[in-house]
Amino acid sequence: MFDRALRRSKIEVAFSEGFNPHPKISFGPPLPVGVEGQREFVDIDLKLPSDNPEAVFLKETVNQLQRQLPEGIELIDCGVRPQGDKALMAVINLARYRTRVPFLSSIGIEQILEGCRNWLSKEEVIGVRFQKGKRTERNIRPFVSRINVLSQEESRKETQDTDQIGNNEVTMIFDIVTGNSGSVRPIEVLESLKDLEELPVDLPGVYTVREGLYIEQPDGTLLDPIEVLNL
Amino acid sequence: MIHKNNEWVRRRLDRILPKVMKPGRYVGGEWNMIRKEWNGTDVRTVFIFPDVYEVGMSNLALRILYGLINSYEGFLCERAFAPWPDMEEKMKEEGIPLYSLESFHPLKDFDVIAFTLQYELSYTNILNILKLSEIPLRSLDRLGEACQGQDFPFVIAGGPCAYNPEPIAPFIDLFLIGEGEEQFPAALRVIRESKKNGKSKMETLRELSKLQGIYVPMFYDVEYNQDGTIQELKVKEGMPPRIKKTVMKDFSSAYFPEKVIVPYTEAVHDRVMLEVMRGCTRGCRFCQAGMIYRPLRERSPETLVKQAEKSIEATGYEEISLVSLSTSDYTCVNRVLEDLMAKMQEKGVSVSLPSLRLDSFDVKIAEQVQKVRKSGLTFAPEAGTQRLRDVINKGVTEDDLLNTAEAAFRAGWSNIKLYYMIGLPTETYEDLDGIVEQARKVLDVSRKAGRRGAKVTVSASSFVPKAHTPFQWESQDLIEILKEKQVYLKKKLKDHRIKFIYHDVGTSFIEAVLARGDRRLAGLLEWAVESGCKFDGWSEFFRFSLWQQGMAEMGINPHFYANRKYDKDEILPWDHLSTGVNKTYLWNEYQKALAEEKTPDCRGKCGQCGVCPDIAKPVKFKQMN
Repeated sequence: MFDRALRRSKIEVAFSEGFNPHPKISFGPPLPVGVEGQREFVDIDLKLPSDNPEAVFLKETVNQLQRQLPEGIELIDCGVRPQGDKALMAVINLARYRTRVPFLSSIGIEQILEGCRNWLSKEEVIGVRFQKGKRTERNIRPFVSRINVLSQEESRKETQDTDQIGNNEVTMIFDIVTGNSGSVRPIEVLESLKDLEELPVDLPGVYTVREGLYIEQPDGTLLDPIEVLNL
Repeated sequence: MIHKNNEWVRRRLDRILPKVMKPGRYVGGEWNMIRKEWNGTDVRTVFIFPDVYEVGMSNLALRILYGLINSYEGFLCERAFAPWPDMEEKMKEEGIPLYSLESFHPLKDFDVIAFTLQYELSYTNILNILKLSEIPLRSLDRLGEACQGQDFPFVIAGGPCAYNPEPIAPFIDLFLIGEGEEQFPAALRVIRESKKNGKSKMETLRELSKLQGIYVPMFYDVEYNQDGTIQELKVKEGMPPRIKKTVMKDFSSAYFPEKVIVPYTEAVHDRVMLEVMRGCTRGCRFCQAGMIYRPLRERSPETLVKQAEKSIEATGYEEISLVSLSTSDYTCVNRVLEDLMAKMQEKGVSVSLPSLRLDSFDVKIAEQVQKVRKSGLTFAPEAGTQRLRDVINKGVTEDDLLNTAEAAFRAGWSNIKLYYMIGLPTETYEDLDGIVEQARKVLDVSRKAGRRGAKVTVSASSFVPKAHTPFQWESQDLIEILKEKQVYLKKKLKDHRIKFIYHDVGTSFIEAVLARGDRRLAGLLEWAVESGCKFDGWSEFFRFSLWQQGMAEMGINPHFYANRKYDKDEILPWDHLSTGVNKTYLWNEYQKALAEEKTPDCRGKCGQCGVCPDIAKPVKFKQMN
């Protein structure tokens, strides 16, 4: 989608070498199917003109590209990554998901927290996945960094569409390790919580957005790939 | 009861989209989608390709007619496709009717529901789509007289299968026979007038039947003989006894969509398609397209290059394909390729040619295309021996194949795909051996050309006799015989450098039944859909045993349609529909086939098929240097 939008926008991009050259574009970790992305990142190799100040050029380019993007895809911010910086996929190491989780039967927040604590205290949790008809097992525990559970009041406060928060529903925040060595989807963690901790999650009713992608710093602060540029 | 309007549908969808595969199929919003004002538009059409989104979005008819209808004031055209079974299940659970991708209006809210008929195995999907839209299946049940004075939308259909639409005739209000570019808008104008004047659907259909190429099946009744063949076609008063196809006389300047929709989910043919010509002059005797799209009309090179530039600008696509029934036969193919390459290379846009023929493919073209991209090459010798190629009038020789293959290997290709048909009329095991030998010889040539590790893919589909071709009287081989032939080839083609692909014989059998079928099959189609048949063209969904059960229950003898030689004098189910090609010409071609006699390309010597000049004149452009 981006390479076609770029071709329409006539922005000059760098092409890969070889028989079948394509514009140099790379993305962060892919968004799981059915998850809405609120702050995703794309890295595009552009030809910087020498006669145009960088800030002006960036603004113009973003506007030019935005005009060629379909409804629902908005360019929020941009920055210049130095030549030779590692690929986004290699530097982004944490994804934060906000998930609305409905329950099949009435359950207190303490009970949910208890289940999560229990789950997190395990060293190994086997997750089963079916990919292209093949069953694979792997330890999903190391991918889950933190789980937060918001009370209904907090959920209501933080969600704009308040009327959509049901009584038997909470918001959970998952901080998930991501990168080239794989990741886990929040729905898989919820499946596992239902399975192992007997939390009565209404899995088909779960709705997830990915709030952000971060490069977790050694001191634990979370910076996104654009914030990192200002360090 | 809740009124399921477009807003309701849109909201309801949010609940299920995260749970289905490829939700991008179901939400529209793609680049270049056209969403016209719903209120205040006189006639609203939804164009349906009765297969999954990725397949439908690759269709050229959809691209052309979508852009064309929307270019008229007062008309709008939206799209719908068959939902994949996982989506269908979820939609049923939530009570969501099938809707259009532009405005999310349920199909029932449109004035016209238009299906494109590209292959027989999509018929169950058509019925399933009507079911999902809460629309009665049979035309007669959709008339005001049958439903409290409230007419349902016009359900219309066109495309290649409309040349024998009889198995689905009871479900479709009218068929458009021929090319839709002029005829479709003309029909919409009639519908607009009727709507303004408050005319009933019945009255409107009478009005529409006066246009050329419009077939309203409810005005025709079929009577049968004891032996099952057709006795008579009873034509209602005032209706034309024969419906002649419409053809666009001025193809070169005809409407061509430049701002085509760019899907999010990758389509099967996800690229700019330039239609370089319509029609084909080769006269292969099995080929329906070669007969029904006559005469040959080329588009001017200047027009094509302009269209290419505008299309790339509007879509951002990275590939342009020059499409037609036989692109390497296009008179100016070299020149157009050269021009396009020169203009497109710096934009990182490649140019490709589908379905190459062996005799007109030259090294020059190969090298042109190769400059930008080198995908596998596909050739279609269709049969393994010269004798059988003469029978089907495929005018290529083994030397053509080997010379071309050598040129291609030298130019850098290492994968060559060869298409064949098995079960062709007069075929023997010698002809099958010919396929095996040919594949081996192509590999030998690869060695000679110094291409190590070359691979050959042999694909063998089963012959299906089609209406309006010289082989329309022929029978298909019995399933058991086709299976034996497949097994035989599989054994003989065991070689790590050869990949053998063959098709499910049950599928080809049902296709043959429907392709030469009549109205008595309509009940079977209803039965099949009620029993869950859908996506029959997809091996994972095709349920042959269910079809067999249906035929047994409905008392239908499938062999009557698939495995019987139709008689010279019997009335064929499609005799009242005319492609312009004379039936005597087809019969003579059939006899020549049996005598292993060739008919030359009609660009050299006119074969007197009957199309030119009455239907339209052929148009060609001069090759200039």
